[in-house]
Amino acid sequence: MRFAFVAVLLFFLVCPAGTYSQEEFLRVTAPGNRQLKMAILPPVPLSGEQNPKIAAEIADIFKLDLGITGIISLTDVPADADIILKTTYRLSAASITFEYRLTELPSGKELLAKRYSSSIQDLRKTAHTFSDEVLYALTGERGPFTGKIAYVSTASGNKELYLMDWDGHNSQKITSNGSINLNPDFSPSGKELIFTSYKKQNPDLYRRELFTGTEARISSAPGINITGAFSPEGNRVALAMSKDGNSEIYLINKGGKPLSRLTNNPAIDLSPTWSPDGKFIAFVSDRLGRPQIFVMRFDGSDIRRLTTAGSYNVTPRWSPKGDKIAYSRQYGNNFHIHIINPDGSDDKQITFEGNNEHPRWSPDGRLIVFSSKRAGTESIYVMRADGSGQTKVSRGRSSDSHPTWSPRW
Amino acid sequence: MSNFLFKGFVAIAFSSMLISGCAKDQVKPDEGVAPAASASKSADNQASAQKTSADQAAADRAAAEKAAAEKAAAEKAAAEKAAAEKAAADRAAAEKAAADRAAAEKAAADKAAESALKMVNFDYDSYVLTKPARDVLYNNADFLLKKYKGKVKIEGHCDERGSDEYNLALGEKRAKAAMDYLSTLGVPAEQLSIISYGKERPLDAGHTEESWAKNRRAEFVLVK
Repeated sequence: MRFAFVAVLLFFLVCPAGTYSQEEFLRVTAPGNRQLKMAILPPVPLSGEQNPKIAAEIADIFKLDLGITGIISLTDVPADADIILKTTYRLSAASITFEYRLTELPSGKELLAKRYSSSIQDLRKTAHTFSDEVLYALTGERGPFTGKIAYVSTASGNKELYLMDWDGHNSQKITSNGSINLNPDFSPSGKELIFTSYKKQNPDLYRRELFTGTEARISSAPGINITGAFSPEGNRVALAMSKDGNSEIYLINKGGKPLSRLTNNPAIDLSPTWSPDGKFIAFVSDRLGRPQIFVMRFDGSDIRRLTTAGSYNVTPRWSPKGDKIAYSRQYGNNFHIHIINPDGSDDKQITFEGNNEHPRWSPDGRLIVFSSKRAGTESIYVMRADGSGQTKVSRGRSSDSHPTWSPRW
Repeated sequence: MSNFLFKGFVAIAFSSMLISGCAKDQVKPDEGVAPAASASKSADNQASAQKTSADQAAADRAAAEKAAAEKAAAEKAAAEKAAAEKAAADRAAAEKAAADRAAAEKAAADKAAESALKMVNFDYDSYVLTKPARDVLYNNADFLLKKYKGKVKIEGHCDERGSDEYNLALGEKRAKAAMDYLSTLGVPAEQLSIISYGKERPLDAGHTEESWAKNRRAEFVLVK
């Protein structure tokens, strides 16, 4: 068994990616399947004295990143491990260079080795980058750990938008308009955010370029302009507007030019989410009395009901893998997160503790980020797609919510 | 010598006429000042000397009269200007007083409106107007039709329990239900507008049924 496993990995190293089928990679996606035992060795300086802070920081990043994937179990006993992650580093006045190596045991064959240099304040990114590469080496699919999470926080008193690393570090404030800012969504490039803001005394939709800081108001129809969702190819936005009498779903281009109207019903229709191939949109509608989730084609045709259990189902998000839709269901005064197949089958509750809402997927579809009030103040958590491994990632003491995960930066 | 005096006198008389600026009498420069040509030289001298001083006096008087006239004209102009300025200042003061009165009246009317326009509450997850809500809206419409013409915005709000996104839409339906009811009672459409805040602006930060009931509301605010 072990030999076959090693043979698979060596085969990968010898051949360039893409020349063999997916079955060659390990496909461990749920706990209970065979997991790889990994020992993460404490980082060691190539010269000079150990810097315990840096060593601990790097080791902690790998433990969290690789531990949450579900395909790796961590062990402190290298002799028990299937693979070892070794780190050496060279620290200078303003920069640091890391060498990360993934080694198979007991053969000692090196599976992956990378060297990264960065400024001292960006060193976390080098470890996240290697974590993404480790997942690629083991499964054929790169990890999501260099992505950023945009979210809403009341840290400054009112709801403003922030960015942070997926694990909660390096948080930075994005908006400072003193108003109410809601529901951020990333463009597929990760370079733009759309969001709703009341800064001009109406809930309007804005598009912000993250690197330049320029903002454009792209939908300011009378009434609400909310729950904007970027299309998969990145040129269009689906959103809810009430300009024609009640909340309906429309398509506009990302510059704001109206394209089409998708729903036409006296009910409240909102919260569109695209299938990854752009062919379908799932959304919330109370056309049957209370909010349920429906699916329609991208042109508004073929509307069918998705959720048939529960009396209040909202905030749908389609997985980037296309095979699941995550959503929130109300239980009494609380919410819990569910996943369901796009054909309506296999509806599963995956959170059970406290209030949990607003699920969104990591760009690789392995993980779900969500808001939870289980510990009191609303905070941001991450879990695996099957609901295991629920971990708090936001680090502030204010109310943090509505997280959304960018593609890799 | 007398010849020179004549010429000098002529020059003074002529220039004083020019200075005074008016030539009512087209006095020819030589008229009235040139002595009779047939007078004897000495008599001429004496007569012309006497005539010179008389003419001089006349010219002085004319000059003085002209100066007095100029002064009077200048004073008159100054008085007119002062009067005009005072009138303008009085008008401005009157306008300001009127504006201040109007502002005070508006402030009083706004205050009365804020007090008179009461909010209405809704059942959980509903935007249907209850009977008590309709009664409150009836009174609000009455006030707007009879006593207040300023613009009014109706805000729709929800309690904290539902989903934020859905509550933005539900809050709007509550505001619209209130606005539509006022319209059917005759309140002009131009006077009313709506906005939803979903559950973003609770009135009561508590987590009890009482708090939630207070937060499910349509609230009237004046558009300043």
